[in-house]
Amino acid sequence: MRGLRVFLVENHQDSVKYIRLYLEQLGHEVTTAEDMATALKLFPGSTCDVLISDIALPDGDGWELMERIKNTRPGLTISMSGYGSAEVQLRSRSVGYDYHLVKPFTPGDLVALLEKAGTVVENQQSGREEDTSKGENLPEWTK
Amino acid sequence: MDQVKRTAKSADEQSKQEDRNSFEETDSGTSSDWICCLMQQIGLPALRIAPETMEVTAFNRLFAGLFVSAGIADYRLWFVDGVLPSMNKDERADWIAAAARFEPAKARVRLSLRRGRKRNFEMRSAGRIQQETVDPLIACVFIPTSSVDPRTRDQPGLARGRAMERSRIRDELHKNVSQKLLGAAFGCKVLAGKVQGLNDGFAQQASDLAELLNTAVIDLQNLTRRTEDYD
Repeated sequence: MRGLRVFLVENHQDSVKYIRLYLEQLGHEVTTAEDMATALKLFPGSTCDVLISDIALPDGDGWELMERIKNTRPGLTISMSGYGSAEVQLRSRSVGYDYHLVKPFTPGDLVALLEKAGTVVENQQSGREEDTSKGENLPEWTK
Repeated sequence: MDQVKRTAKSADEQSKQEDRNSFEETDSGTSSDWICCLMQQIGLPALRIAPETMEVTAFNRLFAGLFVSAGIADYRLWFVDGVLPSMNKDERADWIAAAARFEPAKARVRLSLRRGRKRNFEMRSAGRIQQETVDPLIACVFIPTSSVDPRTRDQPGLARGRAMERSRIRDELHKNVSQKLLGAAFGCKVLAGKVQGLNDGFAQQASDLAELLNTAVIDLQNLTRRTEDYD
């Protein structure tokens, strides 16, 4: 898998620390923000391929964050939440996230999505668009 | 009944007050009426009424407490103006007939309590008590009941409580257990990656530990989804 630029928004310090270390170990470049204000400040300059954001943030939520960066959203976006109800997942999809990960997820779950993101980025670079909005071939845990 | 009202209302206000004071004095210690006194000790409101006029002749403090806010100043009219109108309409005529024959009878009564609350009682009455030889009086005892089966009455409250508890557990699972487990699972994968090539034994153990945490993560996912399914 090619190295991706990942923008991770998560306020739980242990989670963000180990997810970051793990992704870096896999060869990805990771920028982190622990709240929405920091994310909004860092995001424009990050030129990331993937946005991964927690829904529950100390100064807002991942849905509002997506609303505010929608025009510059990266190739693949993933929301994370401890709540996996249909309502929460639908809202995530409706504001613009491509996938919704229900916490706790396994490292394998995240890697599978990043592989998908790698394909999306490669297709974009080669001029082909892949529609991720239809949610085709969604893994079971994202439904 | 009208005669009772007329008699009572035409009585001098001072004499009424004297009557009330007199009654309260006897009732505050040991009531002169042994049935009312006994019911007071058992914890049931009770009164005695004259068979023809239905004028209250004795009552215990529990019954007096029920009528504090009823606005009927003259205690002698408590039964006629307070209890009879509150009696179940279908049962009222039967009760009056039974009482006239000094037969045991019962009827449902819904009385107004303090602060505007209402409560259902089953009034049980008996007359012509053998131990009493003079002035036969009807004894009425009020047993609190509920119009709703107590087994089903609290169901909505219990359901709300259960839903709140599920929500609390789900929040705890998310905020504490789930987040820590997530960090630990990723931390183990990092560790396994770091020692790989340096010490294959340690790398395998770290990898096994990561798998164990993965299994715990999946178990927790299933558990939280099951609690959501209930809501």
